[in-house]
Amino acid sequence: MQDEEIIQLYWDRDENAIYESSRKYGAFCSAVARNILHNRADEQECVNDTWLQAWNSMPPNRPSFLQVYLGKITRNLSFNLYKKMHREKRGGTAIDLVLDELAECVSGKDNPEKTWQASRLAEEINAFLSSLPKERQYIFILRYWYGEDIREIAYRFHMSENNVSVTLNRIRRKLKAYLTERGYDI
Amino acid sequence: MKKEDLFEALGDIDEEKVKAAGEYRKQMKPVGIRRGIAALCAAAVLIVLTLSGIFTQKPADTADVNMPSEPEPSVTHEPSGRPLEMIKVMAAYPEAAEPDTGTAEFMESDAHWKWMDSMQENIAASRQLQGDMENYYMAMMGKMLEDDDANTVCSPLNIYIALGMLAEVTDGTSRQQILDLLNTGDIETLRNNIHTLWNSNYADTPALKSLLADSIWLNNAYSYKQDTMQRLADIYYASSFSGVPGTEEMNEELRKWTDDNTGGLLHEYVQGLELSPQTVMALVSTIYYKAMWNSDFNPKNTSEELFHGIKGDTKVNMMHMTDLLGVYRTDAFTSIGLSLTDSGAMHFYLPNEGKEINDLVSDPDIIKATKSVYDEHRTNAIVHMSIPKFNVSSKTNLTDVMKELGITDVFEQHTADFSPLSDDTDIYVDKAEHAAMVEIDEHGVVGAAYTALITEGAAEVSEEIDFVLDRPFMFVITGADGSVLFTGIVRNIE
Repeated sequence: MQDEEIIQLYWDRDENAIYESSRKYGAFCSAVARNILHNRADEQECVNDTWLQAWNSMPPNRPSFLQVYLGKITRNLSFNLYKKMHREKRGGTAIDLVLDELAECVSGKDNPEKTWQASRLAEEINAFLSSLPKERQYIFILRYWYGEDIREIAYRFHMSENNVSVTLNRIRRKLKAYLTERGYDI
Repeated sequence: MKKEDLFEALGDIDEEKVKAAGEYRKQMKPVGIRRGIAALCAAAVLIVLTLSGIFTQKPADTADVNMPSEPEPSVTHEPSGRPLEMIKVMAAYPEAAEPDTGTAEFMESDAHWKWMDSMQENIAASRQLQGDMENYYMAMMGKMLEDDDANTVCSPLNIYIALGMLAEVTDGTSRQQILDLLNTGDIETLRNNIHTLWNSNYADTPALKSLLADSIWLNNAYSYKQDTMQRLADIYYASSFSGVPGTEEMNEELRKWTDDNTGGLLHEYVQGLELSPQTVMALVSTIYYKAMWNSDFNPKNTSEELFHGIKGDTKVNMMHMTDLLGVYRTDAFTSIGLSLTDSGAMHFYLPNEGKEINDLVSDPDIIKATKSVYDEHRTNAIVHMSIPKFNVSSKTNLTDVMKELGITDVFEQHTADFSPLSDDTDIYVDKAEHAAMVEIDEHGVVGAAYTALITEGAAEVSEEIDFVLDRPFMFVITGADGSVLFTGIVRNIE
């Protein structure tokens, strides 16, 4: 079924929307959750909640890219669950590695006044990514949006894992400099 | 800001970009000839072609394309009129990237990005070849590494290139036997492969040296076919030296060239190199490789410990590090790989209890363990590594190895076909030998990732393993394209 038809099912309040979403994007959403949670039961819980949240958000939303829209819901749910479970302990999981890499871009301090806005920050990151060659954009997004393993990225791009790590390291440093130059005290 | 906030903000980036990234799969470009072209290692192959029977001098009747058309005016001649002085034509290798820049500075510079970009296409093309090369790697390991009690080291890539040169100067079944071993259907495919391998493995930057070099040594009493000489220069970047084999001058030049192109690491072996007056041609191929660990070992953690070698226990300097790594386990061995900056990785293999180290050389999982793909043998674990510093070297008579692997015709004067080289019919391979050395120590650069993660519990990785190389083990060093640059078995550490 085409994405537009699935979205229309949501708008028509037809419960087949969930069945069709699950059939078409269930595996994808599971992979997104798995990269963050590494636990089959938790992964399944987040994917199920994804359909519920999709049901509650369409309408009013009519996403341009249904797959990414659903994946983003799964990513948020999975990360919230990760944070809930990991308040007391850290280290060792693949998503911890992703976060530790991102830690190089930020101060690590609580910033209760929130001198930045998440949506504005995302726009700045978009602008930064647009300044990079396509493949570097994709490497960055696969690592920090999808939480994909460096080994998988290396395989996808026919690069060595080492080169992927070095590339990510360089992009992180550039991102930090880019945001700092634009007045972000992050 | 906390890292979690940034991760969440990243969730809101442009959906179109996210979609494009998720769907992206780098397409391979067809392999074709493109002109231009912490471990310290070196290897060299010498193949000497000789004329059978009593040596008779023949005048050179054509000028070689690899030699200047006008000899130097200072050239002196022996009574027969044959020039005694060497004529050299040196191959032009790619210039070093940022030779005056320090390693750390280079790694931070745009020049590093530029260099990496320039390599990507070559590396992607060469990765395509690796599947076809597995049989060759396995055949070579099986013959080169098995031994009772001595350390064995070799460079399969170095031997591949040397055999490629030999294929260029042969024809008929002599050539076919070489092509069969190299698992290439025809000479054109081999030429493409050599170019691809060369371009993906040649690196000369402040962070990585992977220097390949070839040379041909000609007897100026003979004439050589121009197109073959040109091809060796074009495809193999072979420098050429023409002179009088057997003279001290030519031997000295041969040793100097080999020493220079192996960083002096094979000096002991190189000192023994010499050509005889009967030499018609010698082919020499070298590789010098120096790379840094992506995550270095802290020298403060290195301690003196026992290595239980085949010949007995010795005290060694054992390096230690703990990291989250992919672990490859089969019934026969346990393996980990440590990344080398801008290159591939060094993979270590420890045979499981009850398994012999020599069993590993013919185990196809050895090569599989070097690949960046998941299979049922691979898991992640926190690995407490103990790896000894070592310096191992070996010299191997390639003649027996080549014969056992099916290359037989080139060694017999009545079957050898060197028609692409010369019209003389009695040429055969008199000598073929290989020397290699590998040394590792703690040095590397501070890794960008993975270095600081195991500080507080590592609660979610259920498994921790000790990986202690205190008994005979095997190693494989791969390039960024997956080529097997060096492999060996350490049975004793002096």
